[in-house]
Amino acid sequence: MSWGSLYFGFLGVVLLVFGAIEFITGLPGIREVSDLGWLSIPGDAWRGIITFFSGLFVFMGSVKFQNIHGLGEVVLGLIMLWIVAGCDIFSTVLESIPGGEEGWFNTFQGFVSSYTPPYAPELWLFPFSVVVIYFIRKRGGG
Amino acid sequence: MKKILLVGNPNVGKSVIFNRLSGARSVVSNYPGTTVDFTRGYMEIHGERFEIIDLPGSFSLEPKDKAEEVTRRMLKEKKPHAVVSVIDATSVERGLYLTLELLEEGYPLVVALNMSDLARDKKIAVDGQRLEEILGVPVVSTVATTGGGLRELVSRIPEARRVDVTQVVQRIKGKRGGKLHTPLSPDDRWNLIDKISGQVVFRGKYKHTLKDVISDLSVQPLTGIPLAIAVLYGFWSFFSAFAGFWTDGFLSKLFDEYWLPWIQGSFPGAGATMAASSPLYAVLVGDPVASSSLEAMGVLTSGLFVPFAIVLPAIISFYLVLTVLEDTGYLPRLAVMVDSVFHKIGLHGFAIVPTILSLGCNVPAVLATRILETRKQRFMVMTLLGVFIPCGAQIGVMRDLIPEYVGLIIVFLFFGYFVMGAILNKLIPGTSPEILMDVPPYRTPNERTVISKTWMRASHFLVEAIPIVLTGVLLVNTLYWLGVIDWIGNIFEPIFVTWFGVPAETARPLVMAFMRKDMAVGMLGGIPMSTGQLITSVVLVSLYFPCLATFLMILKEAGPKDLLRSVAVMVFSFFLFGGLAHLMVALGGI
Ligand SMILES: Nc1nc2c(ncn2[C@@H]2O[C@H](COP(=O)(O)OP(=O)(O)O)[C@@H](O)[C@H]2O)c(=O)[nH]1
Ligand SMILES: [Mg+2]
Repeated sequence: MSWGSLYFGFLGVVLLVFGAIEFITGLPGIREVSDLGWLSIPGDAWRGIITFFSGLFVFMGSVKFQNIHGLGEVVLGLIMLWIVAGCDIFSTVLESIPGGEEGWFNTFQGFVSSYTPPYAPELWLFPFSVVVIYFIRKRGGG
Repeated sequence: MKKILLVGNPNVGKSVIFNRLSGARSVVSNYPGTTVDFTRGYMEIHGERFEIIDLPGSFSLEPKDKAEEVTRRMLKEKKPHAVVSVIDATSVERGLYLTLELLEEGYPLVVALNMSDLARDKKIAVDGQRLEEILGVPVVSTVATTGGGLRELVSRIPEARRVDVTQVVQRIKGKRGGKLHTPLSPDDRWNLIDKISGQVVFRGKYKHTLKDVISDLSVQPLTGIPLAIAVLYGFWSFFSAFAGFWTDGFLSKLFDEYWLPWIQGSFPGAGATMAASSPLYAVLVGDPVASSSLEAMGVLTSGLFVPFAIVLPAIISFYLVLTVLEDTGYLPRLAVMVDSVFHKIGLHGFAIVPTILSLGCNVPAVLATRILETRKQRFMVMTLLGVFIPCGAQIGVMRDLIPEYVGLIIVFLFFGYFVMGAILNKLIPGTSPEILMDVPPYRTPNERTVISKTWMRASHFLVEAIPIVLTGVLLVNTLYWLGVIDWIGNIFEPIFVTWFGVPAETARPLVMAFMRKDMAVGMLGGIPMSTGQLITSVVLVSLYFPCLATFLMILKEAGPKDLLRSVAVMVFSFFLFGGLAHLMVALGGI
């Protein structure tokens, strides 16, 4: 058991659980967005599926992390996470600029408040995933 | 017709190669007087048609069973233009035995080192170039299951040649070895193979890189499908954020608050309503009291608003992501993964590109069918898109009206896409040759190239599509103003009521859908009906003719004859799948 293996095993499980929750809350008839103040569950079934599989791949890869195939699976899973988180960030930025009903551009307060929590789970987990770059570098493979 | 024969040991991937080379149509024949079957098909190289035959697997040309005997006899009878010797790269030696025999007998040869992916996994490196030097015939590494290298294989078939095996022996053993006589004895042959493989096969040498691993994972269905879902999700998120930013954030405001009131007020001939205005006003400006450019319906209002404020940002963001996917090397991998599914209906993996595009807007999707090879394939995809793939605007409105059922409806429509695709594939004459896909390594796209490519595509689209959209608005406005749309609606009313079980009032929105599908779906929301009827009507609007802009695009790309054929298919599918939806809703008790 290496540190990398433990770390990504844990991250994988966390992703998997959040993915399942997002999937269930996103099913037709349930579809709801829960807001816990700092964390919001978007309730989007597709997103849930993606995060779930992302967690699954990260977890599967962590089990054989010493092996290049294991690292590959971890990276694949994290790429999926980065897609979801990246799109969140991108749309938050774009939504913070226009002024809506009020005018052409957003007010300064409006602009800043677009960036305060709650965030989706993928966004919270995103910084923890960046660690993988260290392992890629360490292996020296691109 | 010149013949190309595929020969090799059993299970080296001959049939997979054969299927990829010969496309959808092939026939299994029985060799007379035996129980042995072989498969025949056709392929084109530089416009010339070749017959291609997949021979039964054999280890040697000295037949030990019926299959090997048939292989030997067919090689003799068919007088092949070229023989492709397929070798399993994980056990080169076994394949070389047969290859040497073929060379000794003087067949013009090309060697395919297949399963090179498995060889890599097993850390076996095969030096194809060295093998080519030794044998004196083209040697190409292939991965039949993903199509890798097949394009090169095909391009080198014309280089197939006969060689004198004594020269091979000399190249390996020096002049001294030249005294061996052909045909070689099996012992001599194995000796020679040992020497060759000593120079060509290296075990334990290949080191897998992270890129290789990710590349493999992204085409294997188990990991590839979830990745594809993530990529498409990203595609849509980016697309809606970018398009929303420009359209909702700035352009709608510009049009609705400045342009629309100005032109409504300053264009001569305005009345209290559209009907009371002058004909020119009604056609060019539309509704004199409309508060949004989308609803005004004039050539200078909706006609400018739709292409510039809605479509343009959508198209730019769309092409931006598409170009990135293409340049990173992901798109070919997606195409490879879905290839086998599309193969069943005579298309190939690249049909996924227009299909995805069409979920945004049919107009660029019709343009994108140029990616397909033959007229038949282009016609099939254009027609199928027009009928079965709802555009972005429609999906948006569907989500407002019946959010719980959008997923189901889309699944139903995709089902229709493939059923109708299979039918069309049988009915339409013409070939579906394989496009051999080369899967390039993953790489970081160059931002300059991405931007210039996106710009080229978007401006190209503008030049081609805007005149079409404007003509469309003009035409439908005129028809509407003349009362033709109401008139058609009345004629079709009874059919809609009985065959589809929807209320009579839906006829007019359906005819309206000819111009703007999203608007038609919106109009349905105002008609009182049951959920079941609502589902059927929404399906109907999707199945119904594509919007006028798409129509004109098909006309431009495929010509009037194919447009008419396409319309025939559309009418047929409309009644068939619309009726089916009615039936399913009824059976499901919704
Ligand atoms: N990994 C891998 N598998 C392959 C490749 N080519 C063929 N196969 C698989 O090998 C098996 C045998 O292929 P087939 O074409 O039936 O072999 P044939 O007996 O030579 O006709 C099938 O399961 C194929 O999917 C390849 O390039 N790579
Ligand atoms: Mg076979």
